[in-house]
Amino acid sequence: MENILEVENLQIFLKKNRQKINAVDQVTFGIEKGRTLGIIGESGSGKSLTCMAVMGLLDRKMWQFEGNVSLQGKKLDITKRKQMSQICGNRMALIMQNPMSAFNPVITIGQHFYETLGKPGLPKTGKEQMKKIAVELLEKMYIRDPESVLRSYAFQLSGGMLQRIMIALALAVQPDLLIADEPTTALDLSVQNEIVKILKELQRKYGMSILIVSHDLGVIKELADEVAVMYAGNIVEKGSAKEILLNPSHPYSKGLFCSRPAFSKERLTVMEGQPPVLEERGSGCGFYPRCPEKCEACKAYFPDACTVDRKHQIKCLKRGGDVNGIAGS
Amino acid sequence: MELLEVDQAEKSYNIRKFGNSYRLMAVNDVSFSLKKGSCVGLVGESGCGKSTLGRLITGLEKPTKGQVRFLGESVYSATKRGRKLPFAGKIQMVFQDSYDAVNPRYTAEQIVEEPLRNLMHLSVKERKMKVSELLRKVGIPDSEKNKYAMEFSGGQLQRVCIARALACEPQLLVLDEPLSSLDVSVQAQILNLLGDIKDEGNLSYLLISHDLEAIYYLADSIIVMYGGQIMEQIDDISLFYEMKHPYTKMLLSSIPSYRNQEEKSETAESIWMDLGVQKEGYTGCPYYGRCPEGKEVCKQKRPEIRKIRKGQTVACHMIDD
Repeated sequence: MENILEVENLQIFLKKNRQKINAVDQVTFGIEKGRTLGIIGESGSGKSLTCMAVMGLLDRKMWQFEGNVSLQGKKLDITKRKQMSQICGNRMALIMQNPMSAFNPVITIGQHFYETLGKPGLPKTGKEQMKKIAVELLEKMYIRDPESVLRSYAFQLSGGMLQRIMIALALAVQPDLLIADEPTTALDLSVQNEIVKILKELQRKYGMSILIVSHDLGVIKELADEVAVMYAGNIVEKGSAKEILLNPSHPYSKGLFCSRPAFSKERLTVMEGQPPVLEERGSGCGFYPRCPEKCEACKAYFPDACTVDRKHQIKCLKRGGDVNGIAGS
Repeated sequence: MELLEVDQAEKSYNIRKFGNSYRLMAVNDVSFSLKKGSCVGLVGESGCGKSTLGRLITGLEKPTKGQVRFLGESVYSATKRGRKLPFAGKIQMVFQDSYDAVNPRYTAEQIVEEPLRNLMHLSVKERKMKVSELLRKVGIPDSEKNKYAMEFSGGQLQRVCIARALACEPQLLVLDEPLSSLDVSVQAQILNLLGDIKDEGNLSYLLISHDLEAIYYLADSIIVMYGGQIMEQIDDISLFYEMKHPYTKMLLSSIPSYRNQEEKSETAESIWMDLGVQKEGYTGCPYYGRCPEGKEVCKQKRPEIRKIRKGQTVACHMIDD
């Protein structure tokens, strides 16, 4: 099937003190129409950065890019503000992590909708019409009394409600691709469950593709068809959700899945240490200092992706990764 | 004697919103006790009053009615000149967002030293020694004690906050969502750390969280709150899967687990808490609006909390003894 979004060898560099620091390295993935890709990983692993770069939201003065991003086969120039702003919001939409800070506090929720729906490039609609659309969208999100919600300000509403309003806003333009950056992290368990259900339902109805970023494995399991595990700016493992969640192969993915207590009182097996700081990443495997299965070669070499099984790809020397003929022992 | 006794505590706030004012019962008639060396897990969604209850227990807020007693004495006492916290060193708290909970101009050492300076009479030398001992205990190396809060990662700073809470050798630690701002792998580190500290000393925990997996891991008994009231309580964690209240059942079913492969129902329904149930004067069961088993009697009368068997109490009309 055709890929809606294709990201090829995306590299993002942070410009700092006349140096280029590699924040996201050689990220490659694609999302098929109507499917969901989940990206998991710790904070600082470059998940959000990848999303922001795809949306063209990163400042050119601070960041530098390499690689290709294409939407429905057409190459996007993510450094061009004007070009991107026609695509963002119309064909791609973003849900952000913190609903409390994503809204403009001095305008009402209704005005947010009018702003989005009145964007150039969309068919022109009158204000009454826009209001009707907004009310309909809010009703779809199970929001009670949408008319009064449209009149209220962001700070008067609860986090779960705002998150649903943000989803409604994102859907107002019927995008092909929805990028959800930690949509449930700031929410309660039952509210989280609700948002997940809503996203699933919408996907079934409109057939849009979703790129979801989360560190909650449960949410990923519920939503994603494919999963990519990121660590220190790299996708270390990629494959179908079922395979990765049940049978992780990379030592980092394994460690990640072991660190939830799974309703038992047994002591948790913990990955000691912290992810490497951006400035201190070497040429070797980023997981080297924390890896329980490391060997000397891992310190110096980081392998290219190798295929384990059809779609299941992994970047690890110990799992058959290969760098210029130096195989893992 | 019980370490902590919460006796029909009630906390209400005056809410004034565009002309119509009412009293919000944030915590409504809550009673429970905590034994020495045990860990009580407090579950509930945001707005159900669990954090308010935590603040009542630490003495940060004064209960409108009822009492909170620590070793037989009330934790909140006001004198003519102001408020006093008689158990400031004995009850300590760890907050959800560690970056907000520390002074950004303090180094890790100063952060941990502050309670020692205020509450314990130690010489400067003793104090410094104690600080490095505490930091070592929570896994912060000596070389990092001169770092500022900004320079730490979330997990490390949460460790510093735990060290600060442990500084005065407290008997009760109130942990208000200590994990929810952390990464999965760091959560595991903190959970293990909390488990170790508890095993070492005769420390008791009140763990406030909405993460049932974490609660199951640490806690010995569980209290489920909804709308400011206790809905269900079990004294022994082994009864976990036998919890009966409809709200608890809903909670248990909404845990997203990546381990089991069964599919959940996919239709979304509204399951939002109606804040009206916390207004003063509401007499029904707070969960009535969302309860699938709700009957007329639930709307009329608030269910009393009662024992249904040894170690399990439930507030629900629909459950038989």
